[in-house]
Amino acid sequence: MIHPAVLLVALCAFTTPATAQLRIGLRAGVTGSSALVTDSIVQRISARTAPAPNLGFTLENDLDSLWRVALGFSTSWAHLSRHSGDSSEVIVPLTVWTPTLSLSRVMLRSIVARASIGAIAYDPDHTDGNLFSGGAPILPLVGFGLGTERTAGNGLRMIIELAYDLHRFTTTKLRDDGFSGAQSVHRLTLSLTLSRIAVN
Amino acid sequence: MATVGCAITQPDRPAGYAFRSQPDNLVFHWNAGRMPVRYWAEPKGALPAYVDEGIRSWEDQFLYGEFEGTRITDSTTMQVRIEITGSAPPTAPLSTAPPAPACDGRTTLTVGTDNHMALPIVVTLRWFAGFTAEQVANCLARVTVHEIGHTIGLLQHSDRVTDIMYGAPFGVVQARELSSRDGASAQRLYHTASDITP
Repeated sequence: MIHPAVLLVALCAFTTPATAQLRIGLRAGVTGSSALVTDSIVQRISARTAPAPNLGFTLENDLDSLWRVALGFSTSWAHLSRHSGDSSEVIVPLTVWTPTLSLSRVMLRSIVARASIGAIAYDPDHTDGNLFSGGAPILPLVGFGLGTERTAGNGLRMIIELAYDLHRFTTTKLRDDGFSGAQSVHRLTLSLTLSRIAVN
Repeated sequence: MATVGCAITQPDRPAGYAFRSQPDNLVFHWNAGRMPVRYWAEPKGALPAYVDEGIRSWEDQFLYGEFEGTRITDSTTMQVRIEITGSAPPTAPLSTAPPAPACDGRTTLTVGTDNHMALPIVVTLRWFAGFTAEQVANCLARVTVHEIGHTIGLLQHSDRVTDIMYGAPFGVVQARELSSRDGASAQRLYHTASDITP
């Protein structure tokens, strides 16, 4: 996982003081994810989370009139469930933490495109008898998003964004049990971010 | 040339052994609504510690939360009772010494004609005089894990000495820990529909 201090240094390095405008934002949305694991025991099994609410915050710096860099941190809460046949059972409640560093550009009119790198950390409620029993993973993540923004008075900015990110999932327990490779996990997040100028 | 797949590849699990009750050929396992299964262990000698280790060993065979157990100290809500007959057994650190027939165990499940199982499941352990404390401790630790295997629904014995569920008529339990066949059998059990409901 990238240390937060490194991200802050990177953020500062990309910032031109003369044009710097630091915005702080709050983000809320919903995240859907593909399966974390697929398996076959008697019948086909997949382990995946249901669409989950997420909350986060961003620190965004305008580099110029088009480019912005942002540090984001979000968390979502879901139940990881196993699905086999037409039945499903909860495996464990799961909190997912996602710190990211993003670079975004204002495109046509109010359309904003964003690319991000970061990490995803899985934090299960308990680890007994499940795929996290050997430890919960922290994995690298890449993503991009496309949003539309509106600016209101008092420097308030609202962005509705659809974002995609990808990481490759495995755990120590899965590897210990003989699984090889990692599962590509695709996530989609629809979010609303409200930000305002913190430092001009 | 190295390739990077997009999907995780599952392991080749061993075939395992049979787990259906005999002669009625029924399947039993705990369902999700009963988790964690509540074990009560008679506070004699190191039995509670053996039970803790047995529960942990079986939980560790699963990936998808199929089985979870916990040891409770209040027997009024127990689903499984584990007891030792007679006096408290001698205690000693567990070792890799060769197994000795210093103890045995029995698991009793009472199933009615409607395939409804009365709780608690009762596990009764015995230890025998004439063995060292180390032999008794090693034996009780192994047999406790074996009997907990029955309580999760493995209702038959393996015919391989390397499995913790090895037992009559083939012999007595020898293994100190669960094998991959034990794990594969337990996993298959918990993905097979249960005929018996507790």
